[in-house]
Amino acid sequence: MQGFWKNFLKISMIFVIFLTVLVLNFTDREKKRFFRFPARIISIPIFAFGEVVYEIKNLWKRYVYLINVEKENENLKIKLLEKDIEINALREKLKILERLKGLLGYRETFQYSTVVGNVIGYSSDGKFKGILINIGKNQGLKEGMPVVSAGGLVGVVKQVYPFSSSVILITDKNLSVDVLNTRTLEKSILTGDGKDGCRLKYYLKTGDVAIGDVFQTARISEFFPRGISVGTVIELQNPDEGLYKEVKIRPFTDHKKLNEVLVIIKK
Amino acid sequence: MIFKVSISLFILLVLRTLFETFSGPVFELYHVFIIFLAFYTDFWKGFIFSLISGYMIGSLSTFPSGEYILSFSLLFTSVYMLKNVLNSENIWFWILLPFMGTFIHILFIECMRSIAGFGFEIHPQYILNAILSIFILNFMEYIRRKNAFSSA
Repeated sequence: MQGFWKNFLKISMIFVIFLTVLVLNFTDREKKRFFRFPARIISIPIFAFGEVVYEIKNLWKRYVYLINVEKENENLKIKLLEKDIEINALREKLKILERLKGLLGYRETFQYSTVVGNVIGYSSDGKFKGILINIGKNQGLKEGMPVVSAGGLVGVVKQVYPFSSSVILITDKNLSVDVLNTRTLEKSILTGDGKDGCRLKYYLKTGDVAIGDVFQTARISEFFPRGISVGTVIELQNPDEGLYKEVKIRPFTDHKKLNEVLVIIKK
Repeated sequence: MIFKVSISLFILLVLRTLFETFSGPVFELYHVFIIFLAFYTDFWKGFIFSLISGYMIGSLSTFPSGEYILSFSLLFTSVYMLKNVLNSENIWFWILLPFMGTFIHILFIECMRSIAGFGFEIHPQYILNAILSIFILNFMEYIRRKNAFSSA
């Protein structure tokens, strides 16, 4: 009989915990307060380990792993020359644009400053796509700030700790970004496929999109500044059923090769 | 045992956070330590530990929704009850328990995430995870027995 009461106590305890977690999920969707305290404590040793690992990796990359560097250097020199020509052409266009802006009385209303961070870790849960960077609240970061790299959009700051922050990547299914086709100026919503790519949601079958089209942020929601490159179309499908096209996008930034990122701080 | 398991959990968490190779679903092996703990600790000590460790590990999740608190505590209780019912000397016990443990753990986690508003996903890589769980649990048991006999 005593055994029965012991088991009853155990099962009722689990039931209470199950209910508590459920209630938490329904009442506090963000669950910020409940999970903030332990996350801050654990993030400190992980940040310390991450910095050490980052430095060791850098040491290996910059001083030891120098195979094919000369060949790469030659290729980069050629690319640099090509880019120089491209930049000169763009400078000419910029001058024209500035003159036109002056004519139309257009003025920049938003200005952004950035903070540089290094990638020191990855999401510790198998499901979500995220990275850990070595800048946090002390550097002025807040949740929801866009994160970019030299290639283009990386993601959004999800959780901020004193010395580090977690960033949700655009390849995660739970992040949606309003984007613009630079060729046709059609707007759409981009979301992650949960692997290493993205796809467009609600792109109408009548819409004009082709393989190789480049998408950039559209700033419908004012969440991201306009004009950040996101990715290019690599696959198109027109299913018989449904109203929308299936458009696969390859992001310009490969999160596996990310080292340095910029966090855009909105003024 | 609780101390050893907490150190192991922390090492796994650090590995999964710092190296991308370990961050995928194959190395989601937290549950193996909880299963192991269920064999060699008192119910209440282990149960409270599984709650706290689930709370700590789950807080670092990209979207924390209490999934690890629920999974760890339920898994601990299930294994604690099973070990009293089944014959732990049988070799199949040590193969099927970690294999099934993986999927029970994933099921609890995904159910909780579904309630929190995320999609329910089962990756094919969880098969590899389950196989790895068998090896790790048996390795831990081997080390424990070796130490127990050598000290005796």
